[in-house]
Amino acid sequence: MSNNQAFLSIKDLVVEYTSDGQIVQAVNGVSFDLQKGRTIGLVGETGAGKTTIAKTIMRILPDRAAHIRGGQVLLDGKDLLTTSEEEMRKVRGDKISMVFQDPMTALNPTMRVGDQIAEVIIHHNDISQAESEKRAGQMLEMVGIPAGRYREYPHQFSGGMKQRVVIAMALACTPDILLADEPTTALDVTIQAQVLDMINDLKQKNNTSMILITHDLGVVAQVCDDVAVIYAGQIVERGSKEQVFDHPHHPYTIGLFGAIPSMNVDEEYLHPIDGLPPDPSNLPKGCPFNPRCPYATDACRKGAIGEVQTPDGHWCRCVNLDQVKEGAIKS
Amino acid sequence: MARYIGKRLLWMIPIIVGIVVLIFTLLHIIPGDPARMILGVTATPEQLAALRHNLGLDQPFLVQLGTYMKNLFFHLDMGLSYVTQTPIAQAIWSRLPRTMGLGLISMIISFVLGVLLGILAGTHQNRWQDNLSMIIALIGVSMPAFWLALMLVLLFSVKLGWLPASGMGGIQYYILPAIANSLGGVAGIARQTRSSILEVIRSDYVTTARSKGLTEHEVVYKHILPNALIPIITVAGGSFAAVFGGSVIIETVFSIDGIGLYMMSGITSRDYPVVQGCVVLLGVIFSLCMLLVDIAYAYVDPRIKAQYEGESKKKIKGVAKA
Amino acid sequence: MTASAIPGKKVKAKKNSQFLEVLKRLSKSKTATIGLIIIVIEIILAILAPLIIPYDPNAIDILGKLTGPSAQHWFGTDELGRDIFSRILYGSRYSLSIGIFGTLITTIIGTFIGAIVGYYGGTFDNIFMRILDVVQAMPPILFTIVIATALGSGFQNTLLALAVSGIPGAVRLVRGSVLGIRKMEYLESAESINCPKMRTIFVHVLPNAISPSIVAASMNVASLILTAAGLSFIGLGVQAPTPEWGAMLSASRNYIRDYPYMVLFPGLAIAVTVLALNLLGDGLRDAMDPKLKD
Repeated sequence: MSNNQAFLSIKDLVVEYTSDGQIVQAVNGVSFDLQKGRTIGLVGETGAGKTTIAKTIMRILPDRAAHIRGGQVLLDGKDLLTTSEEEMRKVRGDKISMVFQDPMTALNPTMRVGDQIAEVIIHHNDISQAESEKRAGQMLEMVGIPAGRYREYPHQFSGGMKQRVVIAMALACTPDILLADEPTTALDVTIQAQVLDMINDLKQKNNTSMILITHDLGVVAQVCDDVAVIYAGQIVERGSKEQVFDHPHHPYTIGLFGAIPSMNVDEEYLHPIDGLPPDPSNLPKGCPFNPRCPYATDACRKGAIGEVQTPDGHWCRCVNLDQVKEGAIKS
Repeated sequence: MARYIGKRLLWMIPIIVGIVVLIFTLLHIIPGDPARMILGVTATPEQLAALRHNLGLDQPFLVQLGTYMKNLFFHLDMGLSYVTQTPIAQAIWSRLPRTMGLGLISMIISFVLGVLLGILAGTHQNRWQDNLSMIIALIGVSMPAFWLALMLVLLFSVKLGWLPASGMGGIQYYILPAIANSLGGVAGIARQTRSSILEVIRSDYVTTARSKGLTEHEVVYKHILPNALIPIITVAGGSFAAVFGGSVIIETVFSIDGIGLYMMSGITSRDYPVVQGCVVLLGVIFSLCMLLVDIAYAYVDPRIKAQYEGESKKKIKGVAKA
Repeated sequence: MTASAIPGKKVKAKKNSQFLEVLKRLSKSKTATIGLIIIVIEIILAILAPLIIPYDPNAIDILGKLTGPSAQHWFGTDELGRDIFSRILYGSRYSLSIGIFGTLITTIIGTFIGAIVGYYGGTFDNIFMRILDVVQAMPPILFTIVIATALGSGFQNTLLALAVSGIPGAVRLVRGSVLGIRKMEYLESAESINCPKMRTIFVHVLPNAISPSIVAASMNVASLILTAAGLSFIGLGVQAPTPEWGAMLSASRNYIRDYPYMVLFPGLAIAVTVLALNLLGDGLRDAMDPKLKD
């Protein structure tokens, strides 16, 4: 994980939501890097702030409720958070594009699917309408949909087909970075695998980098190079997939792996992590995981917890690394 | 789609028959003797009886209704006016362009201005543009159209002398009536546009559109508005009713000799065949407008179109519900 | 909710708390509160009108006719020297009672029919809805005009005409919500214990279908006042010399050129009243269904 090839770099990102006068801490000082052609998986529970991070990178947060309080999103050294809206529009859909969680609602129901793809192509390229339509047709073919269905509407497509259309749309301008927000969660298990394979193939063909947001560790294992585990708006552990999967150090990460039932051992019970994720409008002091952590000490309940390097060279936000022997939680 | 429209047109037949029966019955139960009204107090009983026979008023109610419907549907004949003894259908026909003209202008103003105001409000939620638009809309729905008409006359005719206070002629005679007649519609459509835009603006596909790097203008007009239109069209359909119904009052205020004024003259002189003819015609026009509204749904939303086209197998009653 | 500890009081306590909840949300909205205050003041003034008006609304004073607003006559006098302020204050009795009582009649009858039609469904419902299709195929104001013509003019007939012509809309609204509730499971349980049909409709179905009707009713008061004024204006509703606002406007429109105040004040009275009712209605809608609020 050397920083010199990173071309997307997130630094100390802080995002808050305000609703009904309450302040919700969605993202609390998140930093990570993404190298060309690699895939990083953001893993965490629902509400941990993963989608907020992606939307912040695109700057498509609901501008009334969400406030970016600090941090930088550097793309090739340029901070996307301070560029003009006009400049940002050139980035969206062209350099960075996004695949959304729910294909059923991600497409405009009143617009032909082909036109929805052609729209992004013509917007970012100086070409004729006819040319953009031709390219949109090719994109459809590329995701495995006959170009003849160009003129159909989203309601004529199944969920898996819709997600293919969304992916075609996201890749239409061969972006440098693809943000995939739970791209397979809403799909049937059999379709999930197809869609993941397709994303993987297309990504490799164009050397696209990807941020994959998921709560599914299996998907991470299949697709990602690097992993960042997110809990309550913070990255608690990050490193290469091998480092994190083989030697998890943070009690939360360990708990996550513990919660997956093993196929080999005949286990009678699942091993969930005790307790619930904290209320984001009222985070516990210190490490946000401390109320659920079996190793929590007084030190965990005081100030902010910094990142420390683990023996195998990845990063972990825990003060009690010595106590937390890997795999030790098997209650 | 053609099948659907054909079916809807067929369905209009029983509706129109129903309107005729209803109006004929309601106006028939009014106490008073039309023959006496036509001939005045000096008429002899023989004269009255002769006229009643001539007008068919001595026939049983159902026979009168049957005769009226036969003449109306097969000969487009609405009978003679009690007062002028001239054919009503002709009188209405010659007045139709004025009422339709006023109605169309009012509808266009209502829709265009209402939607624009609503977009302005919806895309600037809780900012001054929103507050201003909604104050205008609230005042618009609260003001009686005829009073607004009088106030407009006061300002633009009496004080400023820019526009004629009443009468007929060129386009300048239609400006004040059209404004007065459309304000309620503008206000209603603006309020609906705002709320359906606010509903759509949070949809995932709008975020998708933004993530494509589209300009705000493209997002609003290509992605938000088309999806917000269905409830707006419903409200617009309702305000078209107000526009046509309101023409009765507005034409009275501005002395525009259209169907509304003709109908009012029928009411004040108890010339009920005239009232009947006017109401039936306005009802038919309104039904046609509602059909256009339903067709507009299909044009706006491909899912509704698919539903209409898939409905060819179902019974017509399902169509009427949609 | 402390009262819910007593089993028998449970339902009532819940209803009360719902009502209080709506009131609480309503009071949070500044505009709705302003609307409510204006309406309450108007109603009090209307009730007390005979006691507080400075002049008899029908007292003719030819010598003092057509004088503009002054200290003696706040809104001036009309063509017969009647005090316009007194007439407007007294006239609020007509406009408000048409709006309120007309809406009450419409809502009660419409709810009753709508609940039965929606609950029984089938052929009965079908026939009824086709009749409504016919009635609603006409612009509402035209239907009102025809009924008003048939019934004749005057306060009571106008009230009746307006109430009757609102019924189809009220029926459709209640029928719609009853149809939605009809499918709910708790009705099956009511039916399974052989709860009488009428009791099911009025105890289990209606209370849950009523809130759209309440919102619609609050808006209906405003639109009835507008329509009534319109009818009176074209000579079909309440007739002169009754100081109804629409009738006053109708009588004064010939004086607009020289005595515009005669047209200004009755219209302002209508607009302020309707505006206040709309503010209240909007607030009520948001308070009853917080989902609709942004």
